[in-house]
Amino acid sequence: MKPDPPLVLHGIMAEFARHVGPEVQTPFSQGVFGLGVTMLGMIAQEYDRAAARLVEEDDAIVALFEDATYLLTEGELKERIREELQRPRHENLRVSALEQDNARLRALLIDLHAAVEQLSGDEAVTMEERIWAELQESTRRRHIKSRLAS
Amino acid sequence: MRKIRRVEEALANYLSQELDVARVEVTDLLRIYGGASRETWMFTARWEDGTGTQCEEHLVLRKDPPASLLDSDRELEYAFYCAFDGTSVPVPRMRWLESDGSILGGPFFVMDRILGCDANTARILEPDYDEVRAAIGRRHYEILAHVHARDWSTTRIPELLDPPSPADCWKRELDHWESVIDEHELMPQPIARAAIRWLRANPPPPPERVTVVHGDYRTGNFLYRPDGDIYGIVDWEMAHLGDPIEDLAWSFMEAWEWARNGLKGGMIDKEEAIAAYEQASRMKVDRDALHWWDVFSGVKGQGIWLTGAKNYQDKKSGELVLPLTAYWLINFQDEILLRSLGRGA
Repeated sequence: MKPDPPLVLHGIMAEFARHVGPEVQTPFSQGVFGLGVTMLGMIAQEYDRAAARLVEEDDAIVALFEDATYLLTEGELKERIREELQRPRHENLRVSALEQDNARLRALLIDLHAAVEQLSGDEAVTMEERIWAELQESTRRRHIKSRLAS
Repeated sequence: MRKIRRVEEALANYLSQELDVARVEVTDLLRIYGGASRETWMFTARWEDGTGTQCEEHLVLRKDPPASLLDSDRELEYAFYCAFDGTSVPVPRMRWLESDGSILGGPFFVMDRILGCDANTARILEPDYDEVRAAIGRRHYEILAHVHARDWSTTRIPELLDPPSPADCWKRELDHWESVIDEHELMPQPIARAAIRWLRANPPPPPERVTVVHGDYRTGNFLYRPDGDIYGIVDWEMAHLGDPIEDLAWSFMEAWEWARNGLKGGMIDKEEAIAAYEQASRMKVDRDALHWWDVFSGVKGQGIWLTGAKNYQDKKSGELVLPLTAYWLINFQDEILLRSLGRGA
């Protein structure tokens, strides 16, 4: 067991702000310093949650794909979704690899969303609302707390 | 410090040639933090003119960096500044435009420095501005009406830029910013893509006439003083010709509500801003058009942040503001876009 990286990063932020910040002279250097400290705080938030949020999001998108196959007529998009559903996921747990899985799924989600917008009927409306709900959820997962934003 | 000295010397040599004097002394070179597309430096130049008079000028240098939040046309920005010289829109006087990148390590232009002003987005929120903040906000929108009233046909702008027809304003801008996203997104952007589809399906009414659009009209891009007035509109790097409502919508974007209290630019209520603009422009703001340009602003904002993130990832620039966009602003912009589309929490 060693101190958690977010704890260490927040510790670096605090020590830098206390001891280094007052020594920084020019307005430009102060701007660079402030951004660097702010970035440490953001990386600290992202570090611990990144893998979990990517896997959670992938699962949510896959659930949409599974239900969308019943809604779509046969065609290229439906075939791509079927292929995606058969593909193994999360074999490599490095965040960079998980991001590649997530990017592939989000790209396909864009195409599904556009296709569903063109469909009529209650099921299509329900699917579109579910996609919007997932997009809202995706921003909550990615939200960074910062003094720069609410 | 050695780099500062080198730039001071190079600037001094350049100015002595431009001013046709034996020697120019450049001092107090200081980089200003911020600027979406160009490095901004302040400096003082001193020389003796042909009559033996000692001259001193306070100037600003805007230099192209290797990469930034956006790629913009320096000559065009210079032309927009010049178009407002001596008009009711306060702008710093332009002095020299230089496309030779070998002089300072990138093309640049030099303009007068307007002294004694604040520009910072946080400064206007400080207590000594409490009494005049709303007045500055109203003035901001009166000046915007004057920007849009400028007859650009008599300036250099149409030599450098093809004017769109009123009906094409929205499409030209949307095509441009969609292509920026296509080129720079590091990850797929489902919210921005949904917004783009909505924008194409619901085009805005055309403007009465095509006007100058500042393109980044917001707190942070004007110079103000505690007397409640505005002394310079700056950062014309995204200026173009188009629909004037674009500027209003951009200035209203939630990302610029610096005090997080709903006041636009940290200064003024949205309806009060619209009233000030309508009174000064004698034009009614079409609310459907305003909504369309609000959604568009979210897409444009995303294009800017994605460009910054990609330029950092591609190691074209090491400026820390660029990864900040990736870690924070891209998702914040998505949250804003969802609210603009009526899908937000």
